[in-house]
Amino acid sequence: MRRKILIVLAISMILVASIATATVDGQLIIWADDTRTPIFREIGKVYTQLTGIPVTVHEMTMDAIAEQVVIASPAGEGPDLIVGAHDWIGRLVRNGTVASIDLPQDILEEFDPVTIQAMSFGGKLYGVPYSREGVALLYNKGLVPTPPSTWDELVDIARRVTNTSIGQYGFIVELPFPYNCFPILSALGGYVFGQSADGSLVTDDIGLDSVGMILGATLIDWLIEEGLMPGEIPWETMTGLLSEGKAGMVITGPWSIPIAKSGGVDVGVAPIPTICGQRPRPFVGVSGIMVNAYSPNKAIIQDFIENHYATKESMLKIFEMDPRPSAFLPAFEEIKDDPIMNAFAESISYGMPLPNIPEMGTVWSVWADAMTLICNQTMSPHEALKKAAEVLEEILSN
Amino acid sequence: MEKRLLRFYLKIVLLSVFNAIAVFILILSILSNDVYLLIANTVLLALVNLSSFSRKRYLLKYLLPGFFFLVAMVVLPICYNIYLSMTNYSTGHVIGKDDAIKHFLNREFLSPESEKYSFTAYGENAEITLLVLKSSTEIIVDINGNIRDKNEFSILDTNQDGIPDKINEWILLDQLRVNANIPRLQALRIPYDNGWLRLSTLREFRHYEHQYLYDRETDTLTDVKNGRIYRSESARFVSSEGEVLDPGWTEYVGLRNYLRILITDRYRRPFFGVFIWTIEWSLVTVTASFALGLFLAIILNDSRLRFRKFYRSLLIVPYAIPSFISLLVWRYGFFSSEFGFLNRMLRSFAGISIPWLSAVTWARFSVLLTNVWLTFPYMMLVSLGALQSIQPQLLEAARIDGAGNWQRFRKITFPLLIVTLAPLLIGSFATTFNNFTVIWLLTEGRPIMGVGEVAGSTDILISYAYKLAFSGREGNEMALSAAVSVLIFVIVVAISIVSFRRTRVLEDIADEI
Repeated sequence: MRRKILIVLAISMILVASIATATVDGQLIIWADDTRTPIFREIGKVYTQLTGIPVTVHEMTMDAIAEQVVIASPAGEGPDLIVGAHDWIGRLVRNGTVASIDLPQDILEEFDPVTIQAMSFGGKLYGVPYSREGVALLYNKGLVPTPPSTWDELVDIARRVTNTSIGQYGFIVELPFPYNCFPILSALGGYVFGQSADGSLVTDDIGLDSVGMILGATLIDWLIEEGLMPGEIPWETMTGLLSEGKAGMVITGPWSIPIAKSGGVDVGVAPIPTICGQRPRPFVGVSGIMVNAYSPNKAIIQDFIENHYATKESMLKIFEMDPRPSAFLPAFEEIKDDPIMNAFAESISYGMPLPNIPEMGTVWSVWADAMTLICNQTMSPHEALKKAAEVLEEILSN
Repeated sequence: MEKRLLRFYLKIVLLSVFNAIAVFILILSILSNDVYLLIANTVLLALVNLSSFSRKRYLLKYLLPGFFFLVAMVVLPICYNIYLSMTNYSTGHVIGKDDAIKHFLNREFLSPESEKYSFTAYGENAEITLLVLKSSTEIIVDINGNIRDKNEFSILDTNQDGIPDKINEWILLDQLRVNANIPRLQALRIPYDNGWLRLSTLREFRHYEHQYLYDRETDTLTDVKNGRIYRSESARFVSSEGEVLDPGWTEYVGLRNYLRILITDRYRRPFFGVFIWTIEWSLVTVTASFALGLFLAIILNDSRLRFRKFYRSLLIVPYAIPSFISLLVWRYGFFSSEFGFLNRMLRSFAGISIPWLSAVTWARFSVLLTNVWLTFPYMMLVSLGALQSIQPQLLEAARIDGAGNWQRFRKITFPLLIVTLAPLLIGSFATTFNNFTVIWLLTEGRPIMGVGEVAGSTDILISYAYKLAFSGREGNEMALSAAVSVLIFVIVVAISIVSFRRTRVLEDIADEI
């Protein structure tokens, strides 16, 4: 009996010792999704060679990163850096998950100012961008040889190409979710929240029922009524039509290019045509890295960002493996010759950053509700958007 | 004998592994001051060792695993859920108050006139002993963060470049050696002026100051930069001008979440609407699929039917396909209003199109149709089984007594069947009640009830709870969602108790036959 207990004790202790040494200090841990993981492994490997500091990249889904980092970080189990989208920032700041970043002026100036603005919240920088993305006009060269430059031309082409009996559409936008169609809503001055002088958003100034927004929604309503565009078209259907070559023009982002190519469709990209001479303004989404507020490795992080991440070599490597217009201007100069990237970049240059405040979840749902009612023609744009602004104001004031 | 020895060793190894993990968790829980984990772990450790070493309590061995999993996977989640429903856990309130205060105390800012201090490190081998920080002035610091007087040391600069090559017996270390010491260096806080110097990148130190000071007496936070004072109010720090600091913290709020569901118009209206629809959804699904399943089972049970196995295999298909696939096929392939198979057929033959998933009544019909399609094979299978168990003599006797087909079904087959199947039907009801997958994959609760409404027309309670918790409609309201889950739990338990009572009555009837 005694002997048995002793044996158990001894083996237990050995095992405890071997598990307990598993945690190591003074290294970088990064969480990234499946496309970014190999990129940051590569960059991390070089950093380890230069400095001797180990870099570990854990692969997770985007959703898991955004959810888990909030829970794991206070428990000391979070990463040092996460790779994510700028519209997480409001929520992460409100939960105290991410720390602000101080970057020297000369490094800041090498980034596209829109991307820095997107990564800022309450006047502070919370992420360092690497790419920017937004929608533009994708056209199937087989159906639309030259892209339209004005909205009238677009409508003409849409009328000519649309043939519902063979399931072919001249012009489609993912509806009713208002992300892809936002350029139409913003062209004549529509906006979500007003901006103060320093670029931060003013939640008291709700623009869902601004004149520009209502005019834009009326245009969408008219396109649907005329049969020039289906009123409800989810992502799955849009990609299906696109890859089968049955869509003439689509307002979508760089993520749809591989889908079109997988169907053997030859696509071109152009900025979205002007509406009454006004430039449509797409939402700009920015990807980048953010710093965990609980990380003990702030100095390593700062060094990694300043001396290793915000460099032309690293940014070009990122582009090579995940081709979206780089947010780092010296790197973007190198890749400008690609016509598709260039067209997306031009479209983005007219855009405005996707709001990153934590209330965006509410805004999206209320706004999508209004757009649903407009698109299935049960409510007029004016009524629906007025109602949406009212409801939003009520929710935000609580 | 050898077998016994082998068993003995296996037991020791397994027990050792278990104890090792338990002790490891024990140490972790002591390190992190987690009292609950400590208690739970100690009790478990004691029980497991007691049950395997003591001859008297060996019976415990057989009960323990079941008891453990019952506690870990059922009792604990329920308790935690109830606890969560009485807090304000939501976006902006995810950490404890102490953590939040620590968070503010850790916030620092670069001193406005801060200089960059490049540094050189001195030591033996790879161990750093001294640091020389250099900007307009030169400061010597030891590895414990104390500023030292220059005259204490003998400084040797052979090549006269301003960088000492040797201080006392310690030599200049290169960057890679310095990097090996980063964990120690970045933990250094060298008191300096109103703040401290700390490593800002791997190559330089900078001067930082506290942004906030916390006063435990008055429970207020002071912004050092502009002197603003923040009181703690409804789980956040708020200034007198109403400016709110992020993050806030989690605190106990009692029954507030339940009151919010029951009293606030915004949540109450959808809650009761959704509740009634959830009952309808479960009832219709169970009765319709049971009726269809039973009907088909009776047909398939008839020995005069040819190719019975073939038909049975075909009818099981909806049950055999993973519902994740078939639901998406229904949603996009059949019900899509523009491109769906159903509407394309209707348009080409009758020139009409039906808003399968976009009008309230049609959407409810469509989700019910799909769910009946998904569940009837299960009902058919269990009915087939139950039909086999009915003694043919009973039916034979009834026939001799002159009972017709319908009478025999009503008076004998059905009552006997329902006794066996009632518990399954109740179980099926409870499952359907919480069948998140079907609703979420088919409609996500849509069509909407109106602009900005919390719930959609086909939302059942569980998808409504999910929307509150995660879909960001109101930010993430985990606590409110937990309160809805507790209510769902209460409802399902109540329904189950009532139904099981009634099945007992059925058993009495069956005994009489």
